[in-house]
Parts: sequence; structure tokens; C-alpha cells
Amino acid sequence: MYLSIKDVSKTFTTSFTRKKVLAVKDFSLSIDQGEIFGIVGPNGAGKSTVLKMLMGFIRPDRGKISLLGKQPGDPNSRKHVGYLPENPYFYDHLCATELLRFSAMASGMPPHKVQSQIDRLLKLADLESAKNRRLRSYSKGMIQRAGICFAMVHDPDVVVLDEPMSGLDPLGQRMVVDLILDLKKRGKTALFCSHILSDVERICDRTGIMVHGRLRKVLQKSELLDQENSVRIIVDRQTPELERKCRESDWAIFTESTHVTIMCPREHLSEALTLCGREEVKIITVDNTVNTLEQIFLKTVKEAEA
Amino acid sequence: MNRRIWSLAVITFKEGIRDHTLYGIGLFALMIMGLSLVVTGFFLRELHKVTVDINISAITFGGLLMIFSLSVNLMSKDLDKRTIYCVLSKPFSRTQYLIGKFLGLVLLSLAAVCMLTLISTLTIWAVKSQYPNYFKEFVWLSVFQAVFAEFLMFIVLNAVVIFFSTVTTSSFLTLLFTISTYIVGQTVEEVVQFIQSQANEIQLTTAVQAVVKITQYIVPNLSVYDLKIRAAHGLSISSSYLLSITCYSLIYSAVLLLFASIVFSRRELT
Repeated sequence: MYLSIKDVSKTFTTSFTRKKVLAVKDFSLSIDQGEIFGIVGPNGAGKSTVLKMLMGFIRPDRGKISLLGKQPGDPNSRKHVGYLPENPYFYDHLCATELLRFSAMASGMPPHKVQSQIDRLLKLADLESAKNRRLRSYSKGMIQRAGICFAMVHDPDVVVLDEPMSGLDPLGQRMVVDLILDLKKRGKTALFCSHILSDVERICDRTGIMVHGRLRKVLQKSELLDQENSVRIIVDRQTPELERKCRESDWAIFTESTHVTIMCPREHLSEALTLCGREEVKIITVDNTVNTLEQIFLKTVKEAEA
Repeated sequence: MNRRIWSLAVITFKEGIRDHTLYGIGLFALMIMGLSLVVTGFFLRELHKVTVDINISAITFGGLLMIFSLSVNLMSKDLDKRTIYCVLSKPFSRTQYLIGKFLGLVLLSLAAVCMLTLISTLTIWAVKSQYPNYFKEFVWLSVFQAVFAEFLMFIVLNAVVIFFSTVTTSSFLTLLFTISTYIVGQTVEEVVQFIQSQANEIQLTTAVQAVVKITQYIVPNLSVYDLKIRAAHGLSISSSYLLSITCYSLIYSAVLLLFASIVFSRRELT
């Protein structure tokens, strides 16, 4: 395994009240070489904590973590790893070229390769014209782009990105997607967490849904594609019979504030519509343009909260 | 030296040298030295002593301001704003990180001392040219030796900043503890000597005596770096004394960094 996390739990203690806050509970995950794994989850689900434990910034209370066959505390484990923290902050008075040179040198990149790699990445991230400007004059999006270059300048085997799309405009988001897809093409491994579900769905080989510190579901890309064969029926209310039938037929049903969404395979559509008619619920919409991961995500969160 | 540690020292140095705070400190020290050009003429005797004293004091003051503001700020920014995540995502051990930061801060102090010494040399030279009769006992070497001793003190204080940055979570506390260490370090020797000389007159409790004794061994004795008076009197300082205070600085800093490293290796960077 390129990257393995086994039964990891982490609890934080608040400074004054000494209250314990559960951040991660019994988290297990293995990622192979060349795999792209995305973690999605609501705010405070523990996604960043998992990534920080993987990078050795914090220690798990229990469980084992291995990064390229080494413990996270071993500096050599990070030799071939690139990491982008959430809301990265760099040295204000350095320019992008100096920052990337530091990243390359600190990673042990051969000096003769450094400049060409810096130039290539800065061009790719559209920071070429600002490469000699101090980072304090950069916008949030530009800092994010510089951070992505910082993580990737030494061409790492594993890339760990915490909210890589944060603060980026659509062009920047597209750039990140292209970079990750390029990594995949070159057999590199990536683990990232994001709130942009459509991109996660598109890029990842597997996606994990994390809620309240636990990894609730891991979806293969093929499972998501199967789900795309579903149709969505939105009705005004839920009835016991409707709920029973959904459970029996393995259709997804979840209640939102103003309506109820039912998801079923396309071939079950007429059966579902007949049932809705019999139950006298009002059908608001029927469509097949569903964002599959979003629906599964919402359902998983609701289940976890229940 | 490890290329990785050196690269961190270099960016720490660059980050510090471009900070506007440094320009402010430099300007302030320049002002004091410029003032010495004007003020020295008001004294009717021992002009060389006044000139040397003011100039070396300005270097000390500039260096101290730099440590209390810039060094503390450079360390705390890494921890408060989480720049450290980016650095430690590289194959640095926590100890290497502290050594890299320490070297960067020492380089910064060295640059500041060099700059201030250059200006101060010009100032002293200008006063000396103006009043050559008062500079008969003056020795350039003593001035440079005194400045070197101040630089050794800055090395120790930078290690103190690194140490307190790792044990506290607030830059204010780091600043407070560093200033306290400086004040206690400057006076502890005098306090101990005073207590010993007045042992019969002053009745100190055993607890107070114990605190003074422990403080004497824990806090660096910074008064050993104060060679201003000798330089002002044109008295040369023996090379064995300079060697011993150099060793003292290096050993004290190394021990502090070792303790800092032990604490920092256990610290969780949440």
C-alpha cells in the first residue's frame, strides 16, 4: 500500500475546560499507487485532521499510519510527498520563484532541474507574470495557486491536498482538475478533500464520505456511474407506505425542509410514479439530471445525524 | 551543512531582511549615532569614551530591538499562521526545522550588526577626525571586540526566542519571557555578588537564596558580553576571554536548542 491508515482515532482537549472533542474515530483507509482518492464531508467532519495526521503534524491517539511504507514522524516519509494545507500561508516577503526554489531544494531535487520545473509550473498556474512579486501582494486565489505549485514542484509520488479548489476562480479550479488528472496519467497518487462534489466525482477513483470523524462510505467510481442511471422524483411529502416501498426496493429517500426526494433506477420509474399517485402525494419534479455524489453525500450525512 | 537546513535558514533571513521593521530599527540606530556626532562636542573631556559608549550602545539597542520584534515575530508567524505546515511538509525533522530557523535568525543578527558596525565606525572616525587630541587612548580593536561580544549575546538571545516559541503558544509570552531573560541575565551576576557581599547584613530566607542560586545557573549570564566600558577606555580584551565567551554562547545556545527540540518534537501542530 502506498498510503495506509488503520483504525486511527483522535481526540482534542480544549485548553481551559479540558473538554474532549472527538475529531476522528476508527478511521481506516488504504490507497494504492496511481489511485486518486477524494474525501468529502461537512465542515468539522475531521477531513483536515486526517490529512494532518498523515503528514505527521499531529499524532493519532491510537491506530497506525504509513506513508510510502514509513511512519509519518519519519522525515523521509515526506521526501516524495507534496502537501497543500487548507488556506495556505507563506512567507510574505518572498516571491513565488524563491518559495518554489525553497520547496524544491528542501525536497532534495537536483539543482539543475529546479529552475526549469519552477518555470513550467508557474506558467501552468498562470503566475508567470507575478513570479517576482512578493507573496504579500498576491490575492487569495494566487496564493492558492502558488501553494499548489509548492506542493508539486519536486514532482512527488504522492500529493495530499486539503481543499485545493478553495478561493480559486473557475479557471483555477479547472487547472487543479487538470493537474490531478495529469498526476493520475503519470501513475502518481493523490489524496485530497474538497467541497466541490462535481469535481471529486469526476476526478476520483474512489470517494470517501466522512461525517462526525468517521468514514461512513467509500464509493468506487463504478458505483457512482451506476447511480447515474437513476432518476430523481421530488414530491411534497412522505407517507409510511412510500417509505416502506423505498426501503424494500432499495430506493433512496430523504426528506428535506420543503420536499421529499426519491431516487430509483430508471426502469422502476413507472412503478414509483404509480405509487406516488396511489399515495396522493404531489409530484413536483421528475428528472435524471441528478448530481449523484451530492445525493449520496446528503443521504449519508442525514443518516449519520439520525 | 545540510542543504535542507541551509535553505530554511536562507528564506528565514530573506523574510527578515525585507521586513520594514528592520529598516525602522536601522534608522533609529542611525539616528542615535548621528546624534552622537552632535552631542559629543558638548562634553569637555573624555570625548572618545562618550563616542564609543554611545555607538556600542546603539548597536546593542538596535540588535535587541531586532530580536524582540523581528525574531519573535518570525518564529510566531510560522506557528500562528501555520506557515510551518508548508515547511514541515518537506522532509525536515522538527530539530532540523529549529536549527534552520535559528541559523536564519543568527544570520539576520549578523547582517544587522555588520550594518550598524559600519555606520558606527564611520561615526567614530568622524568624531576622531574632529577631535584627534581626545582619541590618544582609543583602540579600534577594543571596539570591534566589544561589538563581537554583543553579537555573541544576540546568538544566545535568538536561541532563547526559539526556546520560548516552542514552549508557549503565544508570541506575546515569547516576547515577555525573552525580555525577562535579558533583564535577569544582565543583572543576575550583580545580584549574586551583592547577596554574597552583604550576607551578614541582609537576612534572606532559604527559599529566596535557593531561587537566586537556581536562577544563576539557569539564566544566561549576559553581563559577560558587556565590554563597552573596556572598549571606551581603550583596554584590549584577551583572546582567551573572547574564546571563553564564544564557547559559552555556543554551548548555551546548543543546550537551549536541544531542550527546544525535545519540547517541539512532542508538540502537536493543530
